[in-house]
Order: sequence, then C-alpha cells, then structure tokens
Amino acid sequence: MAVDKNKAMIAYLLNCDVINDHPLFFNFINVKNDNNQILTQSSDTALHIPYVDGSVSKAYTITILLFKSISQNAVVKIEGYDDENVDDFAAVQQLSDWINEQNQSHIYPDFGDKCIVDSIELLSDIPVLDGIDDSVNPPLAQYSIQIRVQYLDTTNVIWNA
Amino acid sequence: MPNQFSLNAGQRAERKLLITVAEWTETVGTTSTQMREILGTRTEDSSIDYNSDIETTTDIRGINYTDVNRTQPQQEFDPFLVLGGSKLGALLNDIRRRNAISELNQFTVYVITAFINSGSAQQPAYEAECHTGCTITYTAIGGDSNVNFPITVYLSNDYNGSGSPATGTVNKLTDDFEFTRDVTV
Repeated sequence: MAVDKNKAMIAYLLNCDVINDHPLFFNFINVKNDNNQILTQSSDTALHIPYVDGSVSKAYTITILLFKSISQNAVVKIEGYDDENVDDFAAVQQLSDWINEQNQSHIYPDFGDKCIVDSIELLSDIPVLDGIDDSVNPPLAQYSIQIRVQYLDTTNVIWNA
Repeated sequence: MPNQFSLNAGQRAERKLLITVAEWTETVGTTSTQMREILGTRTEDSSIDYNSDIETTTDIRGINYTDVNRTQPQQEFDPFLVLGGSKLGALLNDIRRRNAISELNQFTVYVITAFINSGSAQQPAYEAECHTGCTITYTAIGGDSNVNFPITVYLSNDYNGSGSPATGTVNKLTDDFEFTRDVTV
C-alpha cells in the first residue's frame, strides 16, 4: 500500500523540537509569531530515466516557513543582553542543523516498503529570510527552509527477489 | 519460426524487460544453496556487447562475403554499487579480499527476454537463454559519494559443454524461477 508522503514527512518533522514545540500548519498560512508552515513543492519527481531494473530515483521537496517576531533594536554587545533577531535566527537554524544530523545518521522519513530513502538534504545552507512584514504588531520575519528527500521508488521493479 | 514480441504494434519494450540474472552455488559445510541475483540495481545503462569477430572478403566481382567467426558476449554493470542485501556484491567482495580469482568463473547466467512471453498472463513462459561456466569480474572499487564496485559479466556461449547456450523459458520473474529448456524435435 502506498504511503502518503506528506503524512510521513509531518510525522518525521515532529521529531524535531523546533517543529514540535510550535503550531504547525499544512498548506495554510496562519501568520503569527512562532507558527510554522509546511508548503508542498513536488512529490514523485523522477530525477532521471529508470534504472535497468525498473526502479527510479525520485525527489520529494517541501518548504517550511517559520515566522518569528522581530525586534527593531540595533544589535548591541552587552553582557546578559539577548539580541532577539539573532536568537530567533539561531532557533530557525536549529531545524537546518537537525535535518543535517538526521541525514548524517541515515534517519529518514518512512515512505513505505516500495521506497528506499537515500538522503534528506537542505537546498540552502542557511534559512532564507524571505521578508519582513512590519504591518503587523509585532513585526514578523518569514524564514524558509527547503528540504529535499531523495529516494528510490521500486514500485515498478520487474524482479521480486 | 521465432516467437513474436509480446508487445502491441509499435510499442517499445521497456529496458527492464531485458533481464540478466547471475546464479551460483554457495556451500557451507556439506550444505549447498543455489543463489540468484538480478543484475542492474541502480545501473542506468547496460548492454550486452557481442564483440563479434568479423571477417569480410571481396571477390573479383566486387561482392563482399562477411563471416562471423565468433562472438564473445559481455555485459558491463557500472555503477554496480555496494548495496545492503546484495548477495552477489558480498560474494565478489569476499573473492576480491582473498584474491581468489579462480572463483570468478563459477557462474551460471540467464538472459531473460521478458518481452517475449510464449505462455499466458496466468502461466507465463518468458524466453530465456542459459549460459553455464560464465565469469564475472570486478573491474574497480571506489568512487565518490557511494562505493562503486563495477563488474563485467562474460557469457560463455555454452551450456554444460554443449557448445551453445541453452534456450528455454522461465516461469516467473523472481529468484525462485524454473528454467525449462526448449525441446528439440
């Protein structure tokens, strides 16, 4: 039975505190501080022609949007004082780090028996600051992280070992 | 008369319908087990090259006569990645470690043309040929992000000393298929 990759991906991401500790929305925008949103990009995109045995390398891509309130204060260097924007970025960066750690440890989302996941990778080194909405109070920064899961789809393999 | 392709008119045969399977015997103590593995997992492109030895002569009228003296079929699988669960990969790596190169010619190789089914959908009979005494060599080991262990299969053109491969059919596309030789009348 085919596995719903979106559900598998959500279940996987909920293992990360950055996602699990805050409200997560799926293909729906609720722009508030600390809210996160999953945007589907592509699923089952073949990366090239089938292999000799009929299996195909495919990619599943999502974008995660993370909303953080921002401070309009300049960065200062005072002992014990936290710069909110820097700290927020570090919090967002934790998701990127978590994805990289999972990839290093070969811990992948479960796409079912017919899919062998090869890697989970970030499409950018650091979270991207898409923009700042200062029409709301507090002003919000929107960060995005694109994640690509590369897997081998063996559904059409001709041989059953 | 040859069997026709089991394809609709103009339909192209998918590459996966041309299957190469290696077979060997693994002996542990007094117990021998027949092992099989399809070749080509994660290989994008692989063909059987026949390496025909061709001799052409031209008579005084200018007519060419071409003889095929022999073929030496071989098939390269590159990449042939080191994959978990690959029985053949494990065997070849063990042979490589021990440099036991004399063990490389112990293989029986089936070439199955699954685009010719002389049976039915319920009881398939895919045309196949069987070569005994084949050699499978590893040509390198290494690569970049994954360990590649490319191999070349040298088909013997022989079935148990008969001088030609055995033709026949296989009843299914799984490791436990049965090969039934064609009956010559």
